[in-house]
Amino acid sequence: MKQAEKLPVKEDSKVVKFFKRNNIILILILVYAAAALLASPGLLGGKKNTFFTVSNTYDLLTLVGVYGILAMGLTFVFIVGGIDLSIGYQVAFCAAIFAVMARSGVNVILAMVITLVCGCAVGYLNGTIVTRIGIPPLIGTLAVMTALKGIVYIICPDSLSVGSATLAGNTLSAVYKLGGAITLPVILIVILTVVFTIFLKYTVTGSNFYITGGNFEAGMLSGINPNRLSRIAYTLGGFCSALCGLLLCFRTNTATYNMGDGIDITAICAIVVGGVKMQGGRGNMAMCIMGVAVIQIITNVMNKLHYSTAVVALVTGIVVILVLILDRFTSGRDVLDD
Amino acid sequence: MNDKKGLKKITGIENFGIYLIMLAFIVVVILIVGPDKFLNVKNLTSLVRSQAVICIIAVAATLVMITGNIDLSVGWMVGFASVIAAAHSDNAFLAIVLPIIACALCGALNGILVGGLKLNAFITTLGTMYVFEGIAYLYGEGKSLSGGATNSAILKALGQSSILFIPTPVWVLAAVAVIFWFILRKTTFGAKIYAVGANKTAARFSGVSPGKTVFLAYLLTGCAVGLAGSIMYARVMSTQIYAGSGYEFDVLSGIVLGGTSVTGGKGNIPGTVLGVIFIGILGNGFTLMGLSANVQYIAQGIILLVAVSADIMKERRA
Repeated sequence: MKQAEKLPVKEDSKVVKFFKRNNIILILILVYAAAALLASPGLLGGKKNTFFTVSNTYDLLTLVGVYGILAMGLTFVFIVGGIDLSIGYQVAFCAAIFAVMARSGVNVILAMVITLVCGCAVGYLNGTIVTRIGIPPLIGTLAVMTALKGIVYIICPDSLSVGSATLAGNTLSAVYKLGGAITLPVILIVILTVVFTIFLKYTVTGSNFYITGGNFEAGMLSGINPNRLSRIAYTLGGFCSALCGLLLCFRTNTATYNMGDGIDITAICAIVVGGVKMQGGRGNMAMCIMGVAVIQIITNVMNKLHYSTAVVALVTGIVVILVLILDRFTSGRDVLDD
Repeated sequence: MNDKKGLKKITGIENFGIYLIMLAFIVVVILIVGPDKFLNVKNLTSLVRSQAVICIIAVAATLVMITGNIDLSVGWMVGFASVIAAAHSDNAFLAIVLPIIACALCGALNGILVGGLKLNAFITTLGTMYVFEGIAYLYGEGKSLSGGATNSAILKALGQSSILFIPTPVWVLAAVAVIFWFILRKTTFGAKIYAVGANKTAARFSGVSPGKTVFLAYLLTGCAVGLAGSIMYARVMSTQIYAGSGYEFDVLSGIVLGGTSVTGGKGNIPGTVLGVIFIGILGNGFTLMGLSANVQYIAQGIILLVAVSADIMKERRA
């Protein structure tokens, strides 16, 4: 019997496959190159390139550090198939309680620990609402967001200064900017990226996050208790928000009630640009950081070129939509189709 | 077992659980505030007048929610619409029609992306939210956003007059609500919306095009948001570009309190109206009690949790 002829199926090479799955790498390079080029004197930059300088690169790294930490927390929540709308107010809430404690003379280390615990507690609360009561994450975290907004406005009606004259204020500002590229956010994000990546890839709990988000039923049947894992993910999200709140508070030595406004939406957009799937089950810390970097580069370069916030918003929105469309056509149809 | 059957017999009440909770809250608020302070014409008119804009948006966005999608761009869209109305405040026709056309285009963009290209509705409308923010600023910056003597009388009437003691915006809201209720309940398009939200695959196999249905839902939402923008400007004859930012979450809260499911396939217009008005009454009551908006936010969050979890508990028991 003649063997059935093999149909000439066009297989993508390994390299092409890798970049199709991780198109964020190409997007990041492209955006960075475009930013550096556009800011050069010949094109849009004025007398000299203010974007492509050493000091601005340091600033950029610090920004990626601060907002990357927040986005990493959200990445956990996305991987288990959830969403957390309250992270913005979690940041403001944690910064506010830290400022209150630091002002009243509580030991700084103790105050930091308490703040991180508070962040975890809010995250755990979100997880409980979503998994134990069964409220859809969108609504549950919207309710928590609304309530936190009220609490933040009560704790911190305007802005609370930690006081740069105090020992605490001095030490923290000094630690925050150690000099050059080495700032506290950069150190933290490097450490956390390594720790979280190992956690997601090489621990049982971490790798089960993907099953929780990818196929809840299968997770349930294989006995991994996806609800518990979801709660862990939300708690980690709260921890990261608290850390981001602390960093923002260190930067200026103040906590303001509107500290978290908008950074939640930016974080969501950033990790989606990075390729983390809102439907759950896909994403990692590298994608998250690169997504944050893309958004920060766009914002930074447009600020340097003196465009108004309107243009920044417009370009950010267009980039988010273009990335979604690109993703739709490069990834398998199962990912986005119902 | 028998008890459960007995309970099920009065499903009429069981189904209205979420509304009963809201009603209980309202009664408590009224009792604390004092009926005479709350239930007078002046207070009630200002209450409904202020909620009319959000309510119109919410009524329209209910359609999108029932299809199982979401529209987070409505906040900046309504701000954009109000700025257009402000720029043409000397001509009532333009001030009403142009915002509707502009927002219909915005809605069409959402519809093409979500319905046509099947992108994730949540992220897509976050993206278009940024886009509309940018467009609104580019369009509105440097323009006078509070009308002077040149305001058209018709536009003023739309926002500030009353017909039969009821503010005109409320009449507009009533008309919009009836139209959307009619679309949802009495037309095949409405049936398609429910079908797509309940089970997209089943809908496709029974000859409904989910893409087209979702597109039209976004388009209609855009039109209503445009109208709401005109009213938003006309109400006080001035506006800010960012006036609508944050509305998306108020709208979402109202819709969900009204019993619409975020996963789609379930929801109704009267519920949405009640949900939005409920949030308004809550805020109004808290203000009359002398409590700040901060406490109101906390209460609103807790009520959202209680109401939705009560709904879920009920469904689980059933």
